[in-house]
Amino acid sequence: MTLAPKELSNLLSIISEEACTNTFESLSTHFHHYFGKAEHFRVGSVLVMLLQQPDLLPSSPQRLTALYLLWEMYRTEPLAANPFAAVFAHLLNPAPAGEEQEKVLSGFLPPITQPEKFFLSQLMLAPPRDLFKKTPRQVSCMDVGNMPQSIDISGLQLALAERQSELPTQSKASFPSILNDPDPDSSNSGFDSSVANQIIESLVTGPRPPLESHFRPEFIRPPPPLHVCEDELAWLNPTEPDHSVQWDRSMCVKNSTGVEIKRIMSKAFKSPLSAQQQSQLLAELEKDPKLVYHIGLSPAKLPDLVENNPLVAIEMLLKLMQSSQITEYFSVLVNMDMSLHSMEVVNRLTTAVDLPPEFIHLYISNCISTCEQIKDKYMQVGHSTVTVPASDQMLVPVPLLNSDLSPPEPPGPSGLRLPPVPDPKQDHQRPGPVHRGPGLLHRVQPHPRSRRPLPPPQDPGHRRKPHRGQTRQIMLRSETLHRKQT
Amino acid sequence: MTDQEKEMAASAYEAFSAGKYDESLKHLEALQELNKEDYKISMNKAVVEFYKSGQTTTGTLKQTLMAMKNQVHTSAEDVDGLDDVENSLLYYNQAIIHYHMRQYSEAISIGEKLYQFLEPFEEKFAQAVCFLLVDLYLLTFQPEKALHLLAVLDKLSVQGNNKNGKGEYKVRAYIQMKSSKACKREIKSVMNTAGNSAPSLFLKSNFEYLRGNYRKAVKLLNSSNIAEHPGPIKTGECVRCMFWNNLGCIHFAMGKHNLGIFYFKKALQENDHTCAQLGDAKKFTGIPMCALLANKRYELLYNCGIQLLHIGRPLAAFECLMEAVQVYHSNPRLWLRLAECCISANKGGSEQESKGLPCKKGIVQSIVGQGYHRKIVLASQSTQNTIYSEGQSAAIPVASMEFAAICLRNALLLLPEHQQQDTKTENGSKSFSQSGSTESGSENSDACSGKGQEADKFLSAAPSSPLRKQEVENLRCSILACSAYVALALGDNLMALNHAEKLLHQTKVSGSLKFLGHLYAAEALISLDRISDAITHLNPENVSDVSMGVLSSEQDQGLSHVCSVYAAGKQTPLCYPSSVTSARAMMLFNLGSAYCLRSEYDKARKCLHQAASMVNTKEIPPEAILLGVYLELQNGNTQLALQIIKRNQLLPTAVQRVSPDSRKKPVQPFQLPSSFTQVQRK
Repeated sequence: MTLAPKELSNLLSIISEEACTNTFESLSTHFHHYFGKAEHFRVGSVLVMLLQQPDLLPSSPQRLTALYLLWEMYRTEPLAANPFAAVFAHLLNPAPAGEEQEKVLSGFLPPITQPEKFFLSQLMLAPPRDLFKKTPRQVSCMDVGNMPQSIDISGLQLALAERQSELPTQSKASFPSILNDPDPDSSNSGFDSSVANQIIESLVTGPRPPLESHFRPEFIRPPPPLHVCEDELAWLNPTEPDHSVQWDRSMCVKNSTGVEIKRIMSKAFKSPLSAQQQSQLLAELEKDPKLVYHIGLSPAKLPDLVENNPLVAIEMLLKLMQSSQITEYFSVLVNMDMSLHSMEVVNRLTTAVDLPPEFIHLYISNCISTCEQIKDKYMQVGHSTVTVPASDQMLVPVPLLNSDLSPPEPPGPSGLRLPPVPDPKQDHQRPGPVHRGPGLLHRVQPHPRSRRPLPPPQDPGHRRKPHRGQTRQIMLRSETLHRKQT
Repeated sequence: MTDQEKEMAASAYEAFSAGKYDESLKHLEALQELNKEDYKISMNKAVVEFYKSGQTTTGTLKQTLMAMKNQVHTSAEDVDGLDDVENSLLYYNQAIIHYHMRQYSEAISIGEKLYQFLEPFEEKFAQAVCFLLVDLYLLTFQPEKALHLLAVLDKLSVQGNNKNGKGEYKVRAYIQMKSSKACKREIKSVMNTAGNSAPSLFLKSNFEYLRGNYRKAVKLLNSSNIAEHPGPIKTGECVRCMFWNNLGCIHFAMGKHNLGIFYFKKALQENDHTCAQLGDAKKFTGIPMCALLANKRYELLYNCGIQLLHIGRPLAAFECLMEAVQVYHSNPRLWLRLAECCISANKGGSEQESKGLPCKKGIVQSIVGQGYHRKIVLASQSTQNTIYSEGQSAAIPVASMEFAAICLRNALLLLPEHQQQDTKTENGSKSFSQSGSTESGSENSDACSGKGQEADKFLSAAPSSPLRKQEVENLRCSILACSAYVALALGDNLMALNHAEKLLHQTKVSGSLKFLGHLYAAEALISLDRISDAITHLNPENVSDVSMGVLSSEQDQGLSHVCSVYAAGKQTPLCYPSSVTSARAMMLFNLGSAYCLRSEYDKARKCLHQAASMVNTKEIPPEAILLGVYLELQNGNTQLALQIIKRNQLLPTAVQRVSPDSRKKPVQPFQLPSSFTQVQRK
């Protein structure tokens, strides 16, 4: 809404024909009585619109009032800063294209009379005080024949052009959207201010009044079509699902053994079991192959079991081979701290089942780096003695190792029996599971869906004597060991 | 555990199996006297009581089981360990309840945990777990995971103890994956074994519907004897409601939208009837557990909404879809449909429902005064186009352009990041989980699917089948086009330009959307005062095709490959705008406006006349007529301008006759690119 009806009627009273007998000064007083600074622009817009519509503001004194107010509102600021300065420039300097054209452009400012022009020029310069002691009516009747007709407004025009250049092209291209369309059949039967005021009201009040709209080239903006796709709707099929709550048949079953076995198991995680406990446990496992799933051996607990009861761990792992979680157990096993017990468990496993090659690779490289870090010579030898047969069994052609390094004692605390050394040339360069000699089991396949990528084997620090392929690493290690020993 | 206890346990089970619940309860109570530790006694008691109530006390059972679970896991360390085998039935029962309460992701996460240690379970129970998971995967539209499990089930049940219906599960999975061949093979065997049952007839009908054989689909539906179906209270499924719904789908696909809406409404009525029978299902009590799943309201509202949108009733559609989106909030296409409702409701035009906005874009906004004082107020198209709903928060769902913007943002966020052709899997899997699909722990689900990467080809779009890659890309284009349009309407020119440029950079964008992309980009650029850039977008040669579809890629093998639902329907306009010529005319009109802004009025005039000669006079848009008015006013010909305005209102064929220059001075022949003049000759 540009102006409220009340505001508009105030404005119209100031610029009414009757008010033109007041001096400009008193008009100004009235104006400032009704309108504060905040309203000035909106009021000014209405005044410009009235200047554009000669049928609504027919008399010269009224136009003078309108022009005066447009100027007066912003008199304290430089002229070029007046938002309506372009109106002044336009009126003082009609387009050079010629008068004929100017007349038809009713949407734009119609030309003004000579006295009006004179008055406006005076406003542009420093206006003499006594000019505002006159009334609009007096000014409109002035004989301006001998007054200077044109003043130089090029400075103003320049400032305006500069300001306009900052505006977006679209704004500059806009016209007012109110077009005069007087009915040629109706004669101008005299000006009726009440009719005019009514029209003005409908142009400037209400929500989105015509005054606020503008006319400029518009873009055609077709809305996008509805998205086209297939099979969008939900088709419903009866499925007759049959899922229901079930009775737990494990109630009061198995528990007598279960409780005892669980008790033994919880002990097994903490300390070595007695021979009797161990055999009881293994016997129960033998009786019920699925028992292993019920006794609380989660992957996280495996290291404890390995350290305290390696033999039990081996048996249990063998029972768990069918589990989809077996790779979890392997992964824990390979990442746990190296110890004789863990190596023993791995070694036993390799003799019993096919382990995933990457598991073995990783395991050996872990062993080697652990050996390196051990300061104690005796321990080192002990470790190497287990490592060597283990790696030998699993991977590496190690005649060299065996000959160079003679273990001081029988290997392993639990009487590990080394399996025969397989053909050294066998298989390491080839991908795929390692082929085993006769009598070995071929059961384990890594479970494809839960296989985790194993980290790459650790790179051992120094390589003095480069060798071919995978064997290189192990060979180097054995030399180091040998040297340290002697 | 004493022998006495074992005996009691056995007789309690026996009584339970025989349906003698009171007797079973007595045994259990006696058992509890002897053994206070085993929570399973309490659980079985709860199970018996649940059965005794006719399976109507779902809520109570849920509470009881939850309490037991918390008791079992007071030390939470073992939650994920194998130890849970001990408690598998507790978990299973919980999953069953989640399933019936439609808490599918909870049910799936439990199911997948149980699946991890399937080996120790006895076979029957292992199967039950698998079937539950298969159902859940199909309900959440993860067909590949379902198929993987069905393969596992095949192995599990070598002993011949086959549960019926594995074939039906497979058909449902293949239908979701739109793999025609596998589906055909499987459906044949289903029809051979269970040809007359409602489930198999519906499935076959579904298959024929997707292949575009609508008559056959209707016939199959009709041959299922739905009158004899036991009803939703017993089976948890309202077959009548499904029947009407599917008829609605078929008629929608045939382009018979009025029949479509008729059937969907019938289905909704049927569903309301069922719900009234069931009472307040939210309390989870008083009705059999299976019946909790009977309500299909949201699927039906979704279908209804889409249908209403296509029939041109966007506000009614908006209501339906707003309700549906509460449930299917991760479906990007549904968000787009909501935005389309808003756009359609706000574009004015022939829309009857369009809440009091200027109903037709005219060139005259109003006439003020009369006689000597008569004034014409020209309509500003941009104020008609720019719609702000004042004083309303955009977060309150009304069909406004602001809300459309929110919907479109959601839709874009739900799409996977745009993938380059060569980087597939990693990106894909990431975006898939980002999409907020019903998956729970992705690690678990990968472990189950066995081919998780395959699943990434699909984007969840519940309640319809998941979207394949090409469908996702098409969807992205439509969303971008709408986003650009909405941003323009909201005056957000920078975003509009951004969306339009993104649209134009898509590898497979339909001719029609490409055209819109250029138009929208140009308009945004004009508003950003980049007129020259806008003019390059408005080259009529940018339009060479206005088809709606994108050629489906060769790798897309599926049901739709055999027959497109839309192609068979032949109702949706396959071109937009109606022809390349009219698209080019539209571009020329806009080009004229752009020239006007640069004060190149002669060029503007030529564009205008050229474009006007290319289209039917009735098709000349108001913007073009106003451009004519503008040019005359600019030229000082007020009278001529007024004539254009008036004739246009009186005679729709005005512009050519009025075109002022044809009388005054001969128009210079307009130099056009050669290919362009060819089109003109057509």
